[in-house]
Amino acid sequence: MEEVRVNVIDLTNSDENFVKELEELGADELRECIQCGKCAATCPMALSGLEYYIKRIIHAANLGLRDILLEDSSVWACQSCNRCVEVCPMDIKPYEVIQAVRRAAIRVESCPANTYEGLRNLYRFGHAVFPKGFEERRKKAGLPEKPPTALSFEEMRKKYQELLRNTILEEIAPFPLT
Amino acid sequence: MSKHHFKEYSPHHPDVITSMEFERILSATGPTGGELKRPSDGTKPKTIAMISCVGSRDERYHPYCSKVCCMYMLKHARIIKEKYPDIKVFLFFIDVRTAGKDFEEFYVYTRELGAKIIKGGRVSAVDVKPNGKLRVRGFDSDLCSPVELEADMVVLATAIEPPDGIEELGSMFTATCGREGFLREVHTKLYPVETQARGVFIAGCVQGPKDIPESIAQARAAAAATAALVIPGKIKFEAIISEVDRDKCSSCGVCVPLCPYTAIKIVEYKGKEKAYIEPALCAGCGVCASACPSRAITFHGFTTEQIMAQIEALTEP
Repeated sequence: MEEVRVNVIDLTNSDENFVKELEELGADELRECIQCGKCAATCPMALSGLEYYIKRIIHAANLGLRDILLEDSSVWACQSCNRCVEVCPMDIKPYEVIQAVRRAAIRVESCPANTYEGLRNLYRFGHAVFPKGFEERRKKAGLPEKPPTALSFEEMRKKYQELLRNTILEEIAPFPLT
Repeated sequence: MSKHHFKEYSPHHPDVITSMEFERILSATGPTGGELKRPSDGTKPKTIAMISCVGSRDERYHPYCSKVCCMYMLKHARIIKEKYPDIKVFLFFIDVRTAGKDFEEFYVYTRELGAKIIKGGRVSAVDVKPNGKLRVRGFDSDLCSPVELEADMVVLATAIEPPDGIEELGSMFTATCGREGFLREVHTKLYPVETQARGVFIAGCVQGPKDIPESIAQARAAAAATAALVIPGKIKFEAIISEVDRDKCSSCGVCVPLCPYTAIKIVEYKGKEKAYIEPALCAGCGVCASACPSRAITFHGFTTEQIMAQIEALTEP
């Protein structure tokens, strides 16, 4: 028989350690949020109809609802516009809460699959996202095949890869992630 | 209010208590000597739920806001979190009302201590689960979702209500009660401590729900108003008051129960019982003058001659 999902959030498993973890990960003003909703009134995520927009994310974080936040992909949709930071009357820095939840999610590898593709690209090419397939057109226009970014400087990339391997990312996602 | 009015919150369970009872548990001079213990088995609770507006903002009980509950719930949460940071405290509010100096700061500070605030829904039920725990069912409008919680203890912030007998007390000195059952002041803004009875002033929760600073401010206002009345050593009468012509008075006594200010009494005059109006108490309403069958009461300023003269002036061609 199919399990029937009851639409209720159980606060019994509210995890105070999750709140502390997020505070350590940069959301240090989290608890001061009074849920005024100014952030959600300006957030493009909220306007586009995401279920967990910034105000709800902060409230769920404050209640220590770890599983809900880490299972939901809404935090990864944040466009980093930082409007919430500019309008927040309590100086919570809501974007930092998003970042903290992302950091917590990475720790337990609870992030969208394309996150790893981005990381792999970052390691291999120095960019998470970069233009591909324009080599011929660039040549026709008299430009070098690759743009003058990390893509063009293999030596520098090696140094950069070494740097990356010395960051916390190496623990979470051992490079080169093949 | 007693918890027993609220059947939906399992009032028979010993760990469902009112805030007043909880205040005693937290008190150093209380039954537990200040130790936070559950009334049922004396153990320390791990999760406490507090419910606001129990009996307040409720047409079935009291339509008014009891005003002080939001703040004392936050105070209780703060005491618990300062003393026992490991206890989870959930506060269920309809909305948080922290109007006034320093109160919002108190609210934010309590949040910082880790008290969980659930807004936008009164708890619908507290059930006793087979394992003896209390299941609290509410709604969190910030999460846009129904929520539930397994708690060890539930504290109900029950309404402030006027005590029994307040009406009888008021009638002793002709003060009246408002719709909500509290004694009524003469004017909310201009005469906030005065009652209909001259020389009787009110202060504190007898006039309506209020907190300690407000009660003190009102009490001092009442004391000042009393002093203003007494200190000059003389009392100014109203210019327009009624007076009995005791030679005309037939001693029928009709006027005595009619006077809303209890200013009329029967006293001996020339060997007979006659009505007498105490000028310090008379407010000049005129009820007695219009009711007197012997026309023995003169309502100064509105005597029969004066009124007749006015009518004549108006009807002059």
